[in-house]
Amino acid sequence: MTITIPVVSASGAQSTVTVPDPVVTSSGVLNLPRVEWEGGPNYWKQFAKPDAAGWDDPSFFMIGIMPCPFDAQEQIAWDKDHGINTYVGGLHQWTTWKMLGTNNMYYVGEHVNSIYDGQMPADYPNLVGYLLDDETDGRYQPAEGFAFLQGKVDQLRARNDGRFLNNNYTQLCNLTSWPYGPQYVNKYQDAVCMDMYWYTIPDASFSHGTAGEYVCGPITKPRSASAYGAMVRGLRIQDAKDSKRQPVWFYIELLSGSPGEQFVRDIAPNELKGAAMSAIIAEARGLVWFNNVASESKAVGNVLRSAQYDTNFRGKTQVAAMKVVNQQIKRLAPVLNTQSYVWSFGTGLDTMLKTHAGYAYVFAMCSNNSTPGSRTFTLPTGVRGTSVEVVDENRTLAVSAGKFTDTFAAEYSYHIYKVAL
Amino acid sequence: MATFNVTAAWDKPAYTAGEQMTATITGDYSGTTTSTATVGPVTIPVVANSGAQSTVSVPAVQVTTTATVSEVVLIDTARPVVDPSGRTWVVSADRKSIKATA
Repeated sequence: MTITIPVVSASGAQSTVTVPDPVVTSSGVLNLPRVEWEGGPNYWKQFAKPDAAGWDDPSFFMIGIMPCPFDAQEQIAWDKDHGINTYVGGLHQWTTWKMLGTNNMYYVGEHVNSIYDGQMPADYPNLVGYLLDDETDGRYQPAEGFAFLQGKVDQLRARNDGRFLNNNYTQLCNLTSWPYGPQYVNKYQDAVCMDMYWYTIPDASFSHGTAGEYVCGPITKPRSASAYGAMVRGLRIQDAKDSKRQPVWFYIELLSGSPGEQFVRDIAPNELKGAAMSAIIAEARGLVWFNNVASESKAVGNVLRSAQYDTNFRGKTQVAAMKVVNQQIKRLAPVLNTQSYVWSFGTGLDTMLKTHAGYAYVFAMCSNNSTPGSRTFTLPTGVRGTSVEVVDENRTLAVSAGKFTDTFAAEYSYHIYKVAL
Repeated sequence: MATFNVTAAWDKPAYTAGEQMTATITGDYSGTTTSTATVGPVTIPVVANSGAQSTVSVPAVQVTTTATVSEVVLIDTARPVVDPSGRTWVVSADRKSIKATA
């Protein structure tokens, strides 16, 4: 590539002279404000167990599953091969928990007492954190929920054993009309989680979730991938209210989050991938796959295990899609574990901008209130590449005057762009 | 034949992001100038052996002279610098260089 300079002689004769594109060594960062964060991988250095386990390694990104007990090497190997690195709750007396250590898999739960492996030792290194509860905000009146959690926190903090505390909440904590969210989100745990299965819950569940009632603003298309990211943004807004950030994780249904009394639908494979990437774009620091189906007519006790052993299982394509997106996230962990930049690429987009090893990475989807189609991205100063690699899609796009254009075919479509700094 | 003998070069082999980059042009333009002059008419006196005198006239003739000259070359600010990367280049006051931030 060259730069062309126009020249003119004293007598008015015109010509041009070219000069090769200058060699620019990137400083690796952009001159843009950063998205507030909890510290990324370094956050885990304050907890001895996850620190020793390598959670502070930039190549680690928490991908959990709940509940997903195992009792054979082939099962934990299957889970790991599908990109899972952490079990969140759900291990029980028939779980061969010693396989956690031999497989470099982690548990966020409580010490397991197994008929096969006995009592998990107090200092077992692969038990990296304690799970306080699940959906406490939805199961208790606020005063009772607060008291319940405080009791658990007092008990577990007293162990002083280098483990973090985690809890999962419902969408209630993101509602503007519900004043108890900030206390739940900020007072009890070190890593906060939320579930909201937008694709597979009944339409009636949207009644208190639309029309701008969420702290993150209106979710105009609830049954869409971008609604998952919106909830992560809302949870981060609540988390910021004490001026002390913690990692935000988000649950996504591996097959269906429909309630026990009413089956609505299964999530589609592309929807599943889009929901995961939407949560990531919204700055989720971990994903947890919801691994059962409660609906009586379509109940599944362990989606991942059913896909392993049942050749006719209806959720095989969803599990395969989860593997694809999990492995993509794992490959991109060193990028995801950097602090994002604040930058608006254009209208109708949800994006996340990061830099790593001389490249800018743009994670992008259509915004919730927009229609899929063409989008134009305006790159910030300091992103100098003239072509864009579309990660994992085997195609490139041209940059012209600092802009490039691409198409999003569906609401769940996402693209990851890599451009030289 | 008129020729531009101009090259451009960077002031450093490489830049760190944020640095000022400068490309300077050097060289000249070799052009030709043509001048035309009229020579004559010329009157030549002539004489015969007998001593008779007269004159003979040679008509005027056009004489064309071509000379090679060197001209200063400057950056043409009436036309844009073309940079596919979209950087904004500023032409220096002496019109000998362009500058941008790496």
